[in-house]
Amino acid sequence: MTDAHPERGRLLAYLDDELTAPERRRTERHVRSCTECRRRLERHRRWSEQISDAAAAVDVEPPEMELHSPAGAGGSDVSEQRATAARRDATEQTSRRTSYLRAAAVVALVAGAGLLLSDAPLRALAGDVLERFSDLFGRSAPPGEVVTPADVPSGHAAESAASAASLRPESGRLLVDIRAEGGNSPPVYVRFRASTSAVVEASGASFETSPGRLLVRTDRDDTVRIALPEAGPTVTVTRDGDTLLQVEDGEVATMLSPDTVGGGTLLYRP
Amino acid sequence: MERQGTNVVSRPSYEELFERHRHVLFRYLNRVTGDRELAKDITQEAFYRLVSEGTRPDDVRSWLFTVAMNELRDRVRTGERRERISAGRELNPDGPLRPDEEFERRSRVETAREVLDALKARDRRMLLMREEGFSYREIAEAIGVKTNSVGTLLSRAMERFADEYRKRDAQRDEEND
Repeated sequence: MTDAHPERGRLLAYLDDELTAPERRRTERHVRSCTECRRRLERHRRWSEQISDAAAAVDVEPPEMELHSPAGAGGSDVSEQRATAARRDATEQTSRRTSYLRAAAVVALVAGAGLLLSDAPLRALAGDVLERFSDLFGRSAPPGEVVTPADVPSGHAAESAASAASLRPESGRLLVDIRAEGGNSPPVYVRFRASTSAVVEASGASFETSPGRLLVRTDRDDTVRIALPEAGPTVTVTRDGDTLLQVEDGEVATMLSPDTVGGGTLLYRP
Repeated sequence: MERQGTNVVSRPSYEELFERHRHVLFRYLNRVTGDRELAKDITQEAFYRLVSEGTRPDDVRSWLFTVAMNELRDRVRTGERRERISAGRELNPDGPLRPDEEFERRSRVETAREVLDALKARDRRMLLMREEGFSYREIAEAIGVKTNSVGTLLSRAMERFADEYRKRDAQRDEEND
């Protein structure tokens, strides 16, 4: 190892997937060969986990809130809002299961809308899909909504292109498959928050973990699969058919290749 | 890709944006301030601004957080409120806890509250924005720092958090002995 240790900000940025591809490769190369930096990285992971725990500990039940609109504001949105409210009222009469499926449909449309736009960044799209799922899960959502590019966070550089994506419910789970173009294209990142009830199967992809987050990465022709169960505190991470990590009721039931899953750090707490 | 028989709405209404973002914004503000009422008030204020200005920012979530944080800063500056962490956890999705679990929970909440409270406001805001999954660029915009300094500032803030945590934990252990 001949290169200098990355400074602390860069190391955290590496953990948070905030580096450019060349920077990330350089840092990755260094970390792989430097015991001290692996220790520093692990320290950051531990701190991050403590912060996640502390933040969650002070959470309270969200109160009832209302959207206050000034008279005349919103223009044509007013009628749209009324229509939406009517749709929501109707939707709220349905069962939780129906809500779940509707949420799934909305998420599918979000994915679909993103894919129709050639410049839609996959990373933002994938994050968006999951975030929206998290937002929508457990409550009703108006059907037939498509989110436009204006909704995709700006500043996300396109890192790859998706050649296909699908989403379907199966045996009480919601499966999101995102197929990435491989070859020399940059890796695909799928990041989501473990604080949602999401459960993960990353098939055919490498992944990195940090407290509260799981980063799935594939840099070859691959499909990243994310399975979102309706409920359940089990986390399963698989690669090429092998179970790498399985967490049941908060306990690690199976853990292969501990180096790959972050030196044994448990990253998901149901 | 599933696109079966659906109507396409070109952009979400304000009400839909409210539904989508209000809980996340409230959670963040509650974590930062520890004041449920204040968090609720500022959440509603941020959405009111969105509607009354008739604006359609590219990144609605980021816009709301920035507006909310400016509002919070103003209120703290004028002495109307002090940032503090005083809220206890009310969420209890699994029903009542056993007494030993309840003790453990209270202790955990108390430590979390004290540690977050001990941080400088900027550190707390940055750490909790990262916790919400914001990018460094978004954190930089909301906090008013350069994007390329966010990693270092966050790393230092994390270390200060961990130091505080260790201190409180040791104190608590001494008290229990």
